[in-house]
Amino acid sequence: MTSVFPPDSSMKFGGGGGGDRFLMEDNHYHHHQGEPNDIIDLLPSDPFGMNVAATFGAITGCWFDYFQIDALNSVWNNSNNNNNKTVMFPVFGDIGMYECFNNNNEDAVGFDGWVEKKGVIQIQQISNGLSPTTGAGASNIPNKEILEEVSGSCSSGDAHEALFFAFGYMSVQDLLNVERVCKSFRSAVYGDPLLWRNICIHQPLNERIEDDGLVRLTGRAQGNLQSLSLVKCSRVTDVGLKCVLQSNPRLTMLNVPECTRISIGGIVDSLKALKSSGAPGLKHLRIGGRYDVTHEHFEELKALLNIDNCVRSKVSKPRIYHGHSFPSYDEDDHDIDVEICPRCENLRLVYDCPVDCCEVRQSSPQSCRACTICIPRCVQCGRCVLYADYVETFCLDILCLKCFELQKEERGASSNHISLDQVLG
Amino acid sequence: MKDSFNPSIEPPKKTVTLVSSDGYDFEVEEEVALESQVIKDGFEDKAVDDREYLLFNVHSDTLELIIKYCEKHVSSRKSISAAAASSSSSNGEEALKEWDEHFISVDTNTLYDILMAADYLNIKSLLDLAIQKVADTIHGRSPEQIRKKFNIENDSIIDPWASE
Repeated sequence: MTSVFPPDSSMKFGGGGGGDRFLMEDNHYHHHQGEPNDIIDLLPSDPFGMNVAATFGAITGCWFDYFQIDALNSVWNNSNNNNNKTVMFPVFGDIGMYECFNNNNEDAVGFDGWVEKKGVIQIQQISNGLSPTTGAGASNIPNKEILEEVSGSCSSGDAHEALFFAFGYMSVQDLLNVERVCKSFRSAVYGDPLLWRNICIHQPLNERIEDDGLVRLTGRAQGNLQSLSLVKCSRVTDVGLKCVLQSNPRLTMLNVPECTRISIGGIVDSLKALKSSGAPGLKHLRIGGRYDVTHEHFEELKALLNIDNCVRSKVSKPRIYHGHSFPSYDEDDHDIDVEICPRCENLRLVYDCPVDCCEVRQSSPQSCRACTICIPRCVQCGRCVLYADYVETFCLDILCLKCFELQKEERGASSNHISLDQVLG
Repeated sequence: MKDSFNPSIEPPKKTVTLVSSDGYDFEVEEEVALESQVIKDGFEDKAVDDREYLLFNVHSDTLELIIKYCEKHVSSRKSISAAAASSSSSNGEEALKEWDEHFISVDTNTLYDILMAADYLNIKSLLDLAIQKVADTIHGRSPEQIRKKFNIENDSIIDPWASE
């Protein structure tokens, strides 16, 4: 048993999400088309000569054609016949994981590159299929390239066996894309728990993944999950984390920086439950960037991670501040990332000073170790700015003068490049 | 010549014959052939004049590339260790990485061939290089773009209600 949620609840989840989304489109459509007859009558029918009515009709008409079909199976068949199958696929709730990252309406409304893009492609395809002339009105320039690729994929074959080698070298995001390519990829990716032993979720997946999705994703490791990294996963809660830990007793590394809905109490509880189930327990824990850790929590965590106070004094690599990104496992070999700040005695991430000639450090080598609240540091190089000149950026970040000058030079050199990127991006 | 830095220690060159699937003979130095773990295993048991390997799965075009890769790696390994022995600073590893990068920048079909041959011959560094290249190519692409890039047909008409 890999998932703790009953199967039919997840079915309802995906289906319900899709339904809501379509319903919303529905209302939206009627708002434009049906209700405000008087206003529309007053306006010119097509002031910019875009043939708008025909375009909307073509799109929405087709949306309804597809949505009102009772059995989705017939959608697949229809779309298959029209050679539009590849495009119809993602928005309808998809196979497996994809849907649970899109189960909220915010994504469907837009402002989210990934999902919205799919939607736009779909509209384009449909309108192109029905009436090529009106379809042009709805098309977006950036999607042209993708569209061509879609239409170009007619002459194709099976996946080469060489490609299967690469799955072990891929990130979670890439694996999720790969499994939607074809059946053989799906069975290879989905059926191999070893590919899912180390799961790292960051941009852009982290904004979408919820408890349900996380449990299903980690369930693919079939209990073999070794490390889990959730970077800024703001929708994952204590409940989700607990479920994951319960079904993956072999987890040794947990990294949950800036997961705002995971509380420190929740982490402690989950780890306790994990420990009491007889699992070997975590070896490394990263909870960076939270301010609610108390000394009791810290003691409990240390006990849960089997950190002895005397072993604690082993020589660790100096930890250097790098702005808002938290140190990775390679840079930081602490078992638990927070520690007692020597100055304020709160549980914080404590940084070292990278500058040998640092004035604070000269008085006593240890005195420049502190959290960023006690000793403000440059976001670029991490040096302390207690006695050095610094600049505060628009985002209230601190830059030492050296880094500020460097940045200014870089910006001057690449200003053309940046503006071009912004235009394209 | 690449190993002219210390010719006195070098034993007389022994060669091995590799025969490609389309029947071409490639005579290579023993140490180059030994880059392949498959050839290395059981190499000593073979009689010296019987060192001919029929590679049924490797076409001559691919074998040529593979030999080029192994020769480069053997020679640069020597020059790196020589540089380390004379404690002169060298950026041999950096240069080799660059060379690898250039070497593996080939079209998809050649990449497939190299990867399969490296797997067949069990040349780990080359296999890693080729797999990493494939993974890098897939990285960040949408399923549709992957299909297009690798010419894969979309057969994933799967019941969307199938629970995981």
